Amino acid sequence: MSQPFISRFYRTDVIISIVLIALAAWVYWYAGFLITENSKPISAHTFPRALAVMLGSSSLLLLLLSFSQHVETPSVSSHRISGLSPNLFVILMLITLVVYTVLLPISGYIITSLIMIVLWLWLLGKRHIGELIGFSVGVVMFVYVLFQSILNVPLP
Amino acid sequence: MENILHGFAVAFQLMPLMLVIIGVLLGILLGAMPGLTATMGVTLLLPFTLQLNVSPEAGMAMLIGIYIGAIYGGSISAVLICTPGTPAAAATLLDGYPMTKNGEAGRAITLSTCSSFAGGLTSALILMFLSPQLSTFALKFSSPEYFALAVFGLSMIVSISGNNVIKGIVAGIFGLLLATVGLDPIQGVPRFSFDQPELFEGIGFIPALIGLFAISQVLYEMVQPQSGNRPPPSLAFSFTQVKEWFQYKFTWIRSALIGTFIGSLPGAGCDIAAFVSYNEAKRFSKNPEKLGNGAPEGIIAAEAANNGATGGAMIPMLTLGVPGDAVTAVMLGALTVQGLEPGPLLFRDHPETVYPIFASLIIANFVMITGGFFTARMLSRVVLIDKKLLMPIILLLSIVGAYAIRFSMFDVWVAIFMGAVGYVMKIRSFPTSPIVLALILGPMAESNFRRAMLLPDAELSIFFTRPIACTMMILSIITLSAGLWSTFHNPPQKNN
Repeated sequence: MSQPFISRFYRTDVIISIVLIALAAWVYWYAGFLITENSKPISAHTFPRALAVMLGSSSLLLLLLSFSQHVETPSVSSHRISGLSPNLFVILMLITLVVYTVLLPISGYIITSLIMIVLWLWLLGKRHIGELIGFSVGVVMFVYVLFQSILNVPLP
Repeated sequence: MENILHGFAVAFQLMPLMLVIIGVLLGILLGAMPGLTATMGVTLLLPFTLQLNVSPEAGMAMLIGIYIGAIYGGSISAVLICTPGTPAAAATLLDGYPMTKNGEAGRAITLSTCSSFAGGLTSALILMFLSPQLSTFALKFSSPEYFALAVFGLSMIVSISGNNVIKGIVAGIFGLLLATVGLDPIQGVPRFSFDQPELFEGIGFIPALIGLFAISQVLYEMVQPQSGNRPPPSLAFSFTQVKEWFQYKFTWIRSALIGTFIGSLPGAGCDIAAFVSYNEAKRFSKNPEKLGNGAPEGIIAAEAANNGATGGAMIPMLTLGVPGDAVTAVMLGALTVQGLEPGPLLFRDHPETVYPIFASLIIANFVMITGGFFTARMLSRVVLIDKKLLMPIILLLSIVGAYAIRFSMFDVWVAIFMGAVGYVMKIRSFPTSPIVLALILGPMAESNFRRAMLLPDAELSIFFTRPIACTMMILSIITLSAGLWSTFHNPPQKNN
């Protein structure tokens, strides 16, 4: 039985807490570069540093609580979609979103969106070719007409 | 009274009435689309109202209609697809979407529509009769009070985090850190921008909202099995739902008043009003643990407040010439273009324009409740669409909506990144709403804290020596302490 990729780890909250503590340390260090000779005691660095301390301490608390029974952890899905485990499926979907965003300025809204919607529908298990094409064309054109023609909001 | 009657006589003429109806219906559609905000709608239609060559009152009637419609319309997508159409509806989804998941989309829409109407109408009446008094009180707010208001708003992270208060606090602080990205509000020093011009303006709030709620929800839903035992969604409207809404009269009256007051504070808009009101609903509720799981009070509080803020935001605009939020800033421009000078003298010199505006606001709310019931029922059918077809539509609208805010591909990247973050948070039971709250209130908190510290002889005690600020700080401490106390005395059980 597979689970979404993060959930596969035991006590993932421990890992998240450690990552956030590291982030807090980096923010505290980085905010030091915001202090200039003319800086007043309360300046551009104050809030980031205060927040870094708060994030570090609350993440430390989360870390400690992760070993006890104080933090709720979720139940997760374990069924397969198009033959893929949920973890692989989510990663694949994120990759398609990245590809879509890269292609949008290159090949434009209509062509890219048509291809992507067909791909998303196919990944979700739709196989009927007429449905894939008909639905994609309908949705893409509806959004195009609404944004570009009616509302005059330009699309890529 | 004579002015009021004259106002209604003008507002009921064919052209203003027609424009307010078109404005409300267009606003509902705009608001329901993720990424298209009330501000964008009013801005897009402003040149159109000028080209129409109609009277200033008729032009303003249309803009008011769009404003009212869009703030209400944002709740429709929040309730149906867990995607707030406008930032003002971010608090609505906390209970609206769980209600839809329970098969009660129609009930959620009814509660939302009635509450929006009550909030909007209350604020319109207050605007008509009490605006000078309210604006005088709002003027007592300066940076210490605004900082205290922001802290009070942030303290409700514990209310919206459900059983995961610690995780909610971590998420909220993470959101506050995200809000510090960009030029700092006082000195203009770039922070965490790594010389990327797109980051100078900070993390876009709406792309973040789209990522955290829409994209993450789509990813989450895609990997959930098609539920066989989920109740079929009911879109039915019944007067029982209206009667149920009326039973919560104290919630919507209180929320409408909160919304009107917060809306009247310059810079504090509908989104802040909705969250503050939601927190108060939880504080007053007999079953606070039910809020966040599809409780009617949650929807009622958020919607009565965000629509209450619409009339509230017009109070400083008309009485002081200071916009209450971004939409009224555009309206202020519209009045100025028409040769009118908003401010104390507007009431004395141009009552023939001011009172029709008040009347249009009231009419717009009646159009909203009527049009809302019809359009929302039609839009509600979205929940009946096969999930496999619906998900790609939401993804497409999310990407296009994120882009449409500033016509920036960078915002699309922000939405995708926040979508991935939101998905991880969702499967690890980190509430996402605290990030949204922090992104809204973070800049307000920092800029007003630093401004307060620039006041002569300012010390940290300034937040406890001024009555309004002190009251809000004490309320914040109580809210935070109560949330933490209940967390450590009622720890949730692990599922795995």
